[in-house]
Amino acid sequence: MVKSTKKKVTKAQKSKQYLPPGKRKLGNVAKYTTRNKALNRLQIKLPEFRRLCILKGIHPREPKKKFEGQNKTYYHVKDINFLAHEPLLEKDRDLKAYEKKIKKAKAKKNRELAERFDRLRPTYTLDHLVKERYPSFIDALRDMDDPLTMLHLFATLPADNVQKIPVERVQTARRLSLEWQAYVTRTNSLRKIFVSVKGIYYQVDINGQKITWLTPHALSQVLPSDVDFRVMLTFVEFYETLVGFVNFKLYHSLGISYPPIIDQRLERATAGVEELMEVVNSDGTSDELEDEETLRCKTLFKDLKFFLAREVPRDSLLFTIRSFGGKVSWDGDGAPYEENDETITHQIVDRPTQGHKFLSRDYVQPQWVYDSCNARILLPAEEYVLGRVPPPHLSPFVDNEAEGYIPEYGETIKRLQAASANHVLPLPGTEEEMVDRSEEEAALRRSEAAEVAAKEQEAVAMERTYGEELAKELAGVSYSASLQDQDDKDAMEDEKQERKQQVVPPPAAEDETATLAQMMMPKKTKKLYEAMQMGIGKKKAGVELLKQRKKKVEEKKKGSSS
Amino acid sequence: MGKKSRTTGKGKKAWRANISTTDTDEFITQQAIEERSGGPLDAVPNESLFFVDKSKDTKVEKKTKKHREKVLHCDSVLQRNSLVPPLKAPLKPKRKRKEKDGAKPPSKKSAALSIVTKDEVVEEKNLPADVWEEGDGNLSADPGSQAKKKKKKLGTVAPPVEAPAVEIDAPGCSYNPTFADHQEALGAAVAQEMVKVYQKVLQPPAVPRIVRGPGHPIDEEDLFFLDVDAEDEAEEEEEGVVVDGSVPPVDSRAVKVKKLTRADLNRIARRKANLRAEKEKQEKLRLKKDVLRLPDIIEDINTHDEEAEKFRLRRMVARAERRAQEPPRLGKHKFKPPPVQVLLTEEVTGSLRQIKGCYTLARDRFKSLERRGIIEPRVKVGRNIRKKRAEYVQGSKGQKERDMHAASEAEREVSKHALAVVPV
Repeated sequence: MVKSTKKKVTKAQKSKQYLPPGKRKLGNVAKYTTRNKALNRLQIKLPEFRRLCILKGIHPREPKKKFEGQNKTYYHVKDINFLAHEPLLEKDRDLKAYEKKIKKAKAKKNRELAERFDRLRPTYTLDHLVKERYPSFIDALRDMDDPLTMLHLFATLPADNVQKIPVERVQTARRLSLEWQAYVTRTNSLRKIFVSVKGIYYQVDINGQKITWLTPHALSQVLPSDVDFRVMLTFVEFYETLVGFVNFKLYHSLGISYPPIIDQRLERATAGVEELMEVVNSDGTSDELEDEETLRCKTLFKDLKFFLAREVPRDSLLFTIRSFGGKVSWDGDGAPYEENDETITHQIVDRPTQGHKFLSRDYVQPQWVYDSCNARILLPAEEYVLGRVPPPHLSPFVDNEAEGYIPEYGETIKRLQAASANHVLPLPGTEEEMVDRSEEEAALRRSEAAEVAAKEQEAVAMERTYGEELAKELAGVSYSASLQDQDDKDAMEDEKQERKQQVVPPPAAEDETATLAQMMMPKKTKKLYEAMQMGIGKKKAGVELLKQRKKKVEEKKKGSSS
Repeated sequence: MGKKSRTTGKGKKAWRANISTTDTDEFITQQAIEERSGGPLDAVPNESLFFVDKSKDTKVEKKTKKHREKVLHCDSVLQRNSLVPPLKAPLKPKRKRKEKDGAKPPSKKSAALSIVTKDEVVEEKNLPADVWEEGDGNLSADPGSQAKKKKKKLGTVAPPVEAPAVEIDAPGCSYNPTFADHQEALGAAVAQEMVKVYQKVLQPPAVPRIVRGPGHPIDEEDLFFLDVDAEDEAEEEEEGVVVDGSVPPVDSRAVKVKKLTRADLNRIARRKANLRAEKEKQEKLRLKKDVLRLPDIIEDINTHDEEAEKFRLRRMVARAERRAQEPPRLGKHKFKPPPVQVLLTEEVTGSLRQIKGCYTLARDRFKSLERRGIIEPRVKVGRNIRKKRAEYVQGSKGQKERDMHAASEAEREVSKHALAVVPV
């Protein structure tokens, strides 16, 4: 009897849409599609496709094997199918159909009808996209870097006809960026500022999220020709909606109604953040527990009154000083107080000479403000005085411990910080005390160890001298002659000792444990450890090189001065 | 009696027959009727013709009333449109920034038109509903939500390159940097430029666009090369190819063909066969020798394999490095990183007022988008320069075709008499 062999029918084969492997697409070809194929599938033109991709957050992919060629752009099939269900597509088509009506009316020389249609044009909103892409508020906050930078950039761009930047965009961008700045000043969340060639970097800490953005300098920005401004405008459109919602949420958390009303007089004088300060400071609750950092930032410029001269970057300084709790005014319409107010403590100027100087106030350069804010203490104003090149502006975004190298001025700042912390110690504040205590303890331990080491060295030196003197007595050298010799030798010995001190070997106990640990490691971790050591060694070598260069420079200085 | 001969339509008699008297007859009958019934209608007074119906016919009245109460469709349409300002009236300019009270419901006009107008959208933006309206718990980072594994929506995918949105410059790019940091940043910028310079230098020399053909004056350098070639030409003459002493013109045929005899052809065939046989013999000899030196061959293969393996590893490592540094290749063009924005040594003045700031920040943003892989790297397409119009000289059209025809004819002649040039 011959058994009939039945082929097992799989679940996939049972479905109606089943296609055998020869018939259906497999692998990369099934998952990816090229841009033109996507356009054909969605039946839209390229500019619209680009716009939709930007709004929905769809980006091209790189498949392992580019089956249509190296010069094509590939997208996920699932992304394109997702795009096909977007209600914005329908809205775009309706808009196109409506535009035809306007065109017809214009062609028939019916200007009134065309204008009427123009006024009643249907519009669309991007709210659902924001909700789709950022399901929770924290997601939106995490992604706020790029939107903020774009908005700050567009707030300074000229409304151009060639690149088709509409005026409304620029104005909305400016409004939103000012609202954001007002919130930051109200909550004193500004933490780091870095002035570079590109612009001014700010870092803020909101709800535990660190948000960094870049603001351009107060120059007239140029629209480069190799940048596609339609793409940028689409991004700005989406970001406007996003930042609007984020601002709304933040303002409501403070208890202020959104949108805040802008002071008209100050707006005409383009006073920047000042326009919203009244609104932001008057309303709102401050019941929230503020953490240590915020308190420190709030009280940095607490009793100081600033006045900004005309040539300094006003918007940036207004924002910074207000975020750190200071009072500031400037020369112009709507300013809180005038230049000849008696209670002004600091005047910020940036010109080589100053005509009339008040004695009660300090004249400093704007870098003083930035450096003080980064260091969280009031740095001495002597170094930032007029007409003098200030000390270098260090980047607060560089982790000095990681690099292993701290620039000179950084060390100065550290010392000043430590000094001020000692002053601050008697004040109450449990967290601060504990922090200082642990620092103190560490410092004590270090000093103790140093003392012990010094004592040991002294003992050794004394023994040596005793031995030498004995030998000299035995040899019959007189005391005065030996003194002369001693002077010459001392100088040489001092140098030797200095060099020895520099190369202080680590205490013996630590050495033993290190070698034991090394022997116990398996091969894999050993190799990793070695790789790590190599990396650390390289860094050290770099630091050594810098130190040597520094020495050479100093020696040159000494040589030139003496 | 046969066909009646047709009389002509002309003539008084024919015309008399054509005159119709129907309208005059009608008029007379009408007059008669009018006189009989009491005079023409114009002369009769209105009272005798019409009367006011004062009869109380309810059926008819109701019907007429009902019909009169009904509003005509065209009238109703016009009435509805009365909300819309009439076309003839001059249009007032739209008042800017109308402070609309949010508590008031949207106007009836827009409801009637049932389109979302600009004003309404502006109102909505002014008072946006909170998108993340889930209470206050959402403000702080919720640890519980992190524990939950939410199904990721299709739109929210991580970007392909894990680069930060706003990349912070090196400390040497500060407007008043320390010496060491500044040197580092300058070094990076210089390295970028030097890479470009080296690439240009190390490129193979480009093919020259214009090559001097025969008939044009030759450079001195090329003369030397020509001398070398002349020696080779002397050898070729023995094969039976006659070459003109002077440089021949481009268009006409240069080679004069000599007819080959039967003996020549036989000789050529024999030589071919000999060559073939020799080749086979050599192959066999080589195979025999190879068999003897088999271990050497194995060694060769091994070294070749090792080298190939090393090459493969190197390529893999290089590709991994490239992928880590640059964004993936998403389109036609390669990503070109923007230049490092650092001040030159002369420009470091330490003064914020005199800073030579970057005024093309838009480019930095665009490059950042490209680097993160959100858009593929783009190069702006230049404008099409219109091609210069080609001048046409009368009578020049057919010349090229005639020349080509002559050439093909000559070739056919040659193939008839069997080609003289034989490959050795």
